[in-house]
Amino acid sequence: MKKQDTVRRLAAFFGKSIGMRIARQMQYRFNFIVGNFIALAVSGVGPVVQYLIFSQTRGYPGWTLDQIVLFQGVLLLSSGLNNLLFADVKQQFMNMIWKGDFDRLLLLPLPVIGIVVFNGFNLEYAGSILAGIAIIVFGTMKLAIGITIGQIALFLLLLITGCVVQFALNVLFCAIGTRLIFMGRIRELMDAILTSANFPLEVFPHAFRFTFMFVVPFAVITVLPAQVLLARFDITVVFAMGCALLFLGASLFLWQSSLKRYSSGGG
Amino acid sequence: MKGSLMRTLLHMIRMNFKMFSIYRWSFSMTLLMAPVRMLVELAVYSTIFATANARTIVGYSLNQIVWYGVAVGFCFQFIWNFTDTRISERVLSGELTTDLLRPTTLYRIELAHAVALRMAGVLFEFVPGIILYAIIYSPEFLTVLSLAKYICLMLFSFMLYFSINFFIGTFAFVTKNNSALFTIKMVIFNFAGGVFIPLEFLPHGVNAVLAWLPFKYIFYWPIQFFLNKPETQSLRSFVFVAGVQTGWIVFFTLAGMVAYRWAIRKFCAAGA
Repeated sequence: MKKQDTVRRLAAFFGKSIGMRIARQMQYRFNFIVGNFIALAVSGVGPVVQYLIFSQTRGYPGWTLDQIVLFQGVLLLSSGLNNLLFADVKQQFMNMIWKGDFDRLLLLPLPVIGIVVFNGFNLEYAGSILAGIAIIVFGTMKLAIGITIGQIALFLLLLITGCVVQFALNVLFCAIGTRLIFMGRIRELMDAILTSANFPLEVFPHAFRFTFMFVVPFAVITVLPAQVLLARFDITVVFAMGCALLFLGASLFLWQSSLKRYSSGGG
Repeated sequence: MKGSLMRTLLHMIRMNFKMFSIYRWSFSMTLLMAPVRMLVELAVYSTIFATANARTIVGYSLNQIVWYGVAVGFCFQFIWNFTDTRISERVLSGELTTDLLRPTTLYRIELAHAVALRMAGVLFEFVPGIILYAIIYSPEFLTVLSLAKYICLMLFSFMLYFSINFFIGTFAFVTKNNSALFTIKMVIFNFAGGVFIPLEFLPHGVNAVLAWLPFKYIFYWPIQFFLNKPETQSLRSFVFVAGVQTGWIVFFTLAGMVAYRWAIRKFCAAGA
């Protein structure tokens, strides 16, 4: 009962947080309006870079240009969804830890990690989601592929699992932050490493592919959903989703362990 | 006036070095994590080169294109500062009011902060970083001269990046929250400067336009000298790039000063 109550209260907190953050963004209207267009441009950079590399080379093994366009649509959709939910988590956490504001969260009657990660909503990235959907629809029409209800259901399940992996990565970031206090350029480096999720698995050697499927399951974020739409998947998808849940568990464990060792370093 | 700038600078340098020594684990982790990105890029580009069955792609060998990504990271270690967001955050929090009461200009305060930040960054990130990367994946192209030219041009890049940041930061006096402008700036810098991808991948027409803008002279051109590309061998090319950088530094410094004089009249403290 207590766990259900906590989940219910976290969900209520998330809802209230979304409302407050939208209201706060609306306070600076110029910034909000421009931010929406810019968020779309930022999300579009990855697909454009991919397209440029693909067009100037012989591309990636096992992928045609039309399939890559579909892949980019999935990338836009998944990154848009991740940014919509968690865009501001890292920067806010870094500021809180550095200034010492994190300590007051420890006094609140909700799980601290829930308060931190569920306070990163950013409406500016809604445009990326719409653009991603549009490109996916365009891509499937260009490829003239039929998509079954089962594929759509699995695709949506993988998108949710991708959000779980992103949630876990944010938890991991926060766990590192409680130990280091000053994050320096670690956020930038983590984002750079995460760009490996923007490439099809076929470009990586076998060791990397195994790591990205089953150890740190980046593949669940973009690659596997795209493969599901292209009907190029097998039972390993289920294993990857299971590994994503294990990854979440490991990140939460690391968070709890780091929190026990946390000593306020900011202010 | 000169004395106050030096005092401010020395104070900021001491503070930043102290911060590095206190948070040494953070910088150690940065050093450990960075090669992972290099290995990912090496894996990706090895496959691309193998699929294309080519020794070079858009004029870069595999060794050069992997080190291009590394050199981009080095560029940020030389130039990165938060001047524009610092000004915006201090406007929003009201702390800027205190800065305006100091016996030195906001420009000098921010310049001192940026110099101190990057001195520590170069010493504790660039120097050990280039040694570590070279051990992992040797840069076949690198010579002492190309490295020296790169470092020299990065000093100009630092001033150019700072002057642009200060110019953008002055808009916070009017807009208060300039996070959107900051994001616009980063997208433009990274795309037009060759951060995301070498500019050779872009269409010829786009490159013709970019030649007239300052961004490629912050990242792309210094990296070309680092990679010891054929077009960087002559002294003339070095003087040309440094000259263009200097011209843009003068332009944005003057623009920043004019913008500051205009914006300070519209300033009202937004925070507590």
